[in-house]
Amino acid sequence: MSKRDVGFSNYVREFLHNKMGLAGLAILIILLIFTVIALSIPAHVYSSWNNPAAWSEYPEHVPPSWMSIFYPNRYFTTQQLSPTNLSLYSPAKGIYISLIVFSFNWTKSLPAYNVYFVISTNTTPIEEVIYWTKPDGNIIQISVPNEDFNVPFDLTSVRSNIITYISSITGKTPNIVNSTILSSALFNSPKSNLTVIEEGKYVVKIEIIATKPLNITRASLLLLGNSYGLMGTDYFGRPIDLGVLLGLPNALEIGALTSLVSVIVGVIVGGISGYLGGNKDSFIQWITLVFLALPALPFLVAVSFVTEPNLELEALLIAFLSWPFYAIIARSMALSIKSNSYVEADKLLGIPSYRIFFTHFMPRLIPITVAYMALGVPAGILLAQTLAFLGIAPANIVTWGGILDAAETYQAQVNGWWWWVVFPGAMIVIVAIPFVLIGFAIERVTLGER
Amino acid sequence: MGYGTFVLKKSLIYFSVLIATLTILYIFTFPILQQVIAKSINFQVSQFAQTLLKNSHNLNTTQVQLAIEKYKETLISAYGLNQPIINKYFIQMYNLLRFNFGTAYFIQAPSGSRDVSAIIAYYLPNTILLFTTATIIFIVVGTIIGLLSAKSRFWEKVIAIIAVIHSSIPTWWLGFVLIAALAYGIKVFPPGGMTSVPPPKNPFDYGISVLYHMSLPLITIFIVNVGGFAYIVRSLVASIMKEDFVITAKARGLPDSRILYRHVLRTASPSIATQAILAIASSLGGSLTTEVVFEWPGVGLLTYVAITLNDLPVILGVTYVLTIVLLLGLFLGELIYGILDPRIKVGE
Repeated sequence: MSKRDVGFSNYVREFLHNKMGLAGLAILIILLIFTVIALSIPAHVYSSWNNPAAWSEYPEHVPPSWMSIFYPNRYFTTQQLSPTNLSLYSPAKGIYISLIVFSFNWTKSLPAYNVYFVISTNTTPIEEVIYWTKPDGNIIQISVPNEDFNVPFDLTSVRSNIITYISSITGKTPNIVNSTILSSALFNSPKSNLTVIEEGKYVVKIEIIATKPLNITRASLLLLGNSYGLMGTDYFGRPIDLGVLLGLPNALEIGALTSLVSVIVGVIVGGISGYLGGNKDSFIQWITLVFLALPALPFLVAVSFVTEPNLELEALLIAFLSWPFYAIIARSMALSIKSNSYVEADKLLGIPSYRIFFTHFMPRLIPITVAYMALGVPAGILLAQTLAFLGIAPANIVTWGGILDAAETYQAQVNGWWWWVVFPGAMIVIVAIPFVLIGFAIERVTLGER
Repeated sequence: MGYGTFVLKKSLIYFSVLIATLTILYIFTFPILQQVIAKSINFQVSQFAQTLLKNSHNLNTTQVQLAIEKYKETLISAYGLNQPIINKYFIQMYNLLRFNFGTAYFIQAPSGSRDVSAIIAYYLPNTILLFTTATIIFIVVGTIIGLLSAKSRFWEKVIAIIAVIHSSIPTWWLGFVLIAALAYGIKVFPPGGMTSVPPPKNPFDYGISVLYHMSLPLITIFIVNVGGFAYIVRSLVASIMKEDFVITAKARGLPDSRILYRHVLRTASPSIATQAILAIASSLGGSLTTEVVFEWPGVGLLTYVAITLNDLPVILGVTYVLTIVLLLGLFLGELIYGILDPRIKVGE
């Protein structure tokens, strides 16, 4: 074997020639860009994640919107409509009427997933009625219950009129009432007993009657799609792509912090142990074994019931349990360095042992330290996400493990909501891969493997 | 003489490690442990009071009250709650070593008992069955692949890729995806549980049913862990291949496979045993969580249920028992290492 150059700049040069390392670095840079984007999202989005009410205007458990590429007629996205006509008049003294008209063309082969009415006024109306006109002129009249005045509401809040309409057409009351049944009543043709979609121009008139002068502050109609975003939505309508993005910063933080602390502690302890040898070595090995024997997962679960962990504490606890792995590796490295003749020579020359340690051992341990710091990040992320999956995570942060826990709770695998299972877990893998690639690359460069 | 002293020495070391590990656990869980013990005492006292009131009609209320008080006193001193902290430590440590973890808040063993050690005793064998089988399979197959990769370039490439997978995929997530695809998508495997419902009466059918339900969790744990282990074996073998005695063997014209299995494997086996010990320790957490997605009735699932119910005694009991089990596993690995390393037999 030819003489190898050892030195920092050399390592960097060799690393940059390693395809695996470069690929890892590229993925890492992309992830960091996304982290910056995630950190620029305002804090209230993070805190509203666990509040189902914040996500009511999103379609629930629908697949990603790119599914329409494969099934062009079956999937479509949410359409937000603004009023085509808005008129205010007062037919008599003390009575004010506002008429909001929406019109749209429906050419899809399925009804909208749900319909959302977002209407708010500057006063409390006394009556609010929706006239839903189908292309063939058939009109469904829906009166809005008082509690939904000035708040966004969907079809399930106004179900009674629609159910009456369904039974007048089909002659029977539906057993299950959900947004899909209600929406198909609005979009299907009465001639076909509400089974076939009616294509054409729909007109939706909303009449609001009040006793005070009326002003419309917000008016829009949402025809919810049966697909959403890059990764679909979950049981509560929360977009998975947003959740995945929100989970990125804390995953990277916990991984980096864990790995930094545990590798530094592990390498120092292991290095000293291998360097000293003898009884001191046996004692340090014993301590290493004690910590190795602590099962990480149950231990962290138990400790999380003593104190509610925040992100940093959780990272430190994981580091506290994972340093023995690095100590064992560093010790065997130190033992092989110790057998070199230059160490013996220095000892014979009477050079103090701490200087031998810093001049010969640490420089040779540093490359492997960097490699294991990279390899340690995924281990930390994996453990933190596993804990989150079991229901243990710092409050007020979004974790992928937590999203997957919800998927398990709401039986996503049984219901075929694959996007809820696949994407958050895939993100754990995607975040881990660049570190593994970089770690392997550094290991190969510094150890001079093929 | 050699192996006997080795076993004795290792037993002593592992026993001291056990005490130290449990002490660390004790320190970290001290506040909840006291809370759990207090609740457990209250539970036992109320049970005692009920039986007392049922069985003894000739006692008046003050006598009953006195008896209950006295019973409570004995319990408190048995758990060392009124003792100074050092005594408390020894008493409670002694209780822990006797697997006395108190009574669960909500969870019951199928026998109806709420004794934590009885609950864990019911679930632990299932975990050991799944985890031990999985570990043996991935260590044997990983060693074979690792040895093969020392011979062929193709396997080396494959190993590099699966090693990346090993360090980046959560075992339980892979299980989750496999269930969605193979149990609900195309119905090849059962979605979860340990046997079909109701469990078959015939012992042979029962065994087949367990094997069938175990196959998907085993595949999951195997896929995630085999690559990492093969990668370690490969680097061990690669470093031994450079040794002088291998070059000598090659020069003597011995066939490659003979060198690999007779010379290299024999030399590498103690280090492989050490690495296997580490692999056991690091794959435990992932495998436990895998039980949750497969609804495998082991301690992993028990922990998950205990977390959702806030059943602290069970969580504590599981932590203590798993520490002991892991230590036993490490100890067994060490004994195997002793058999494999010829230096120990000689007594060097």
